[in-house]
Amino acid sequence: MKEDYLWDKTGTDPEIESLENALGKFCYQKTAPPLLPAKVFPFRKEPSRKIYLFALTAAAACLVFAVLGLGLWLKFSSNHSAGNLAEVVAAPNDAASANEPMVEIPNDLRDKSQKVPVIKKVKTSSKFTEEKFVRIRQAVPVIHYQTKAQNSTTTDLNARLTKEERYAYDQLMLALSITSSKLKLVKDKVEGKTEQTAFFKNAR
Amino acid sequence: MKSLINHSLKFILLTLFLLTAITAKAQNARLNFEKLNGLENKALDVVEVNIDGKLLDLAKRVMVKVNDPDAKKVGQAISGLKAIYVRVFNFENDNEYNIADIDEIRSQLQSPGWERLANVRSKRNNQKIDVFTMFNGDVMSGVAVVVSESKSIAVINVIGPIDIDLLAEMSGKFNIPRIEIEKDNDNSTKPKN
Repeated sequence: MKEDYLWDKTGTDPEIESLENALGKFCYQKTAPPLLPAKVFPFRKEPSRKIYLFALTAAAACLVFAVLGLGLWLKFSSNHSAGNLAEVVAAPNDAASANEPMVEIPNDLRDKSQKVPVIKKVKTSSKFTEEKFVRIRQAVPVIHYQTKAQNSTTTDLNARLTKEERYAYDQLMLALSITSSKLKLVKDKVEGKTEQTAFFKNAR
Repeated sequence: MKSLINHSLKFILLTLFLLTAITAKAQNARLNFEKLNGLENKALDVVEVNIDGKLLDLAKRVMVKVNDPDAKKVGQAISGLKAIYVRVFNFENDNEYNIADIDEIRSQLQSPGWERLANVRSKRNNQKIDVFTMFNGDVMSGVAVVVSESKSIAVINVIGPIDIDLLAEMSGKFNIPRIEIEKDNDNSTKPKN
């Protein structure tokens, strides 16, 4: 093996030449470079099955929480008015009334000899009026058309009712009383009773 | 898998939409009294009653306890009731309130669902009375009564079914105390008749 051929290709070296011939097909050939594709697609890794399951579980959990949250919201919004019961405050009208129960008691449920307490502030449960203060004073103990039997019934009832029940009953009766009086007014107007009454009064 | 997620999301959105719609439907008989808030300072007397939720349930239970035929009738008339909201303002002088405030309440009753039951107009005291009802199918879901006079305003909003005729008949038969409203700064303890 002559090393001259290996370094500067002078002379001949059949061994190296045979190697060159054998490896010649792998040698560099000057041709046109390969063309790039018209559109380059970025590498996208397909999400695994675990991610799908996770998303599905999260969606289901969201649904459950939404339904639970809505349920709780509806429950607490309906409970809101009851929570305001404790916020009725007795006014310091005088020393005696300061010790009166905090909740208004209907006059027909009350002993006549008792002093009339005053509701000073009532926090309402209205969504639109967050804090309303209404002062309601019971002026005259009124037992209009009650029979003795009814009186005894209401006295028994008075003994059985809690403060909250009395307050709720009182408020409902007040609301119904105003509602019924206005409806009666409309009914009378529509039926012309007011005009008739006025006519008869004038006739007298 | 992708379609499954899409379907799940659609289902969730639909469920939330339906729940919101149901909630809105249940509350749409409720009137907004916010415009009347400013009248409290001008009014001589104010009555404000809000009964709903647990308070109403409590009152209904008491109605059952009362051993009185009238109370039983009333209990029957309000058995399906969900709430009552009442505002009454009495003024010292004529036209002391802004008519636009009460007209705003009347304009709320022009929305779909409300139907006018009665309409009374009288030149005496410049009285205007409107009664509206709302029905869901055959079931009454709300009643609104708006009364305006020269010196007073009354707005009543009943939510839920109620027997109007029976309630009108029962006027004056409720065993409730006569009440008087006094101003915040009024420390007088003398009863006014």
